[in-house]
Amino acid sequence: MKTNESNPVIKGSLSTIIMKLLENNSRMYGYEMTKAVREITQNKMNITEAALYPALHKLLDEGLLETTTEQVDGRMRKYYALTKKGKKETIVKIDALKDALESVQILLNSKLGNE
Amino acid sequence: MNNIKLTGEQLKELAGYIKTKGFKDPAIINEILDHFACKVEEEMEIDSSLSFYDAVHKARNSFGVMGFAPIAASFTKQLRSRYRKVYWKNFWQTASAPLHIPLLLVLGYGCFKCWLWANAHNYQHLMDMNDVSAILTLGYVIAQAVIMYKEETRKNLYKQTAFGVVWFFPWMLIYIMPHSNRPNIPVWVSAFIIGILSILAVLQLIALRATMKAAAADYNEVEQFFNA
Repeated sequence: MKTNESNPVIKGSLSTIIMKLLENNSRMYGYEMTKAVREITQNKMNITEAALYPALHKLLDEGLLETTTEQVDGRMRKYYALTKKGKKETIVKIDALKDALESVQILLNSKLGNE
Repeated sequence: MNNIKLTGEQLKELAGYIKTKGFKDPAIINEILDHFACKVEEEMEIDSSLSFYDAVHKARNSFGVMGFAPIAASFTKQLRSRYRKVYWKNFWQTASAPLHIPLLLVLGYGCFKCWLWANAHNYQHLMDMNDVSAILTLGYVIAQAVIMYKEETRKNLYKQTAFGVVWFFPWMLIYIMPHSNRPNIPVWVSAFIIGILSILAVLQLIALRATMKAAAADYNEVEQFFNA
């Protein structure tokens, strides 16, 4: 099943996904991120531009990302990278997401009941 | 990343296509162009029989029903936030610099005293306005016009957004309001307000200049790429 950011779990973790990608790749441009997500998840997850750019702009606004622009293949390419603050925040966000997912996993695997 | 690379002509066509969708500012076009071009290249690579125009159509569809609008909207929102930060950072930096504090206090006190003096001598030549208020208002308007003229006179998204974060008119209204319209307020209170407003107006002009400079620098960078 293919998921995208309309899935509430993905929507809530989009910033963390972006920050994790940047932690692994030091700097990336928008299209590269969407392609990386598709490749890593073997096309199971797709991030649309309508979700990616607002999330990137929000992270920039919060001072977690910084940009550099370069001319590549005849057009302006904007690269995003984590700031110092962003690097610290990435660790916190990834840990929080892992904890949340583990808790959900435990709940899903348990026999739910009142007994 | 993609093996197929669009030519300069094809990129121009893409930029033109983005313009036809209502996004005419070079800043917005540049924000969208690279991603759009990468998608077109990807489509052409997946299906080599696809024409450039068919690839453009497919790439455009992949942006969803809202098209480029969410990217443009969030870019503008982020710009606004950036300039608001630049503006207030400069405002408070200027206000809190040890050298500036006594200068600003002298300015405020000077305006306070001058206004009281003009009021006592009934110097109200323009629409009942205290002459000191009139001079301060004129100075403020001229200073603002000079900043706008010097920094970047052409209309562009950066300049418009930067200008949009500044709040102008309430200052002017209080400045130009004659004291006779406020009979219940003691004269010294009116003079005090003028003194405070003069300090704030100077801080505002300094912050405006810094914000417009940041906007001009951003625009120059984009324009350089756009014209290349």
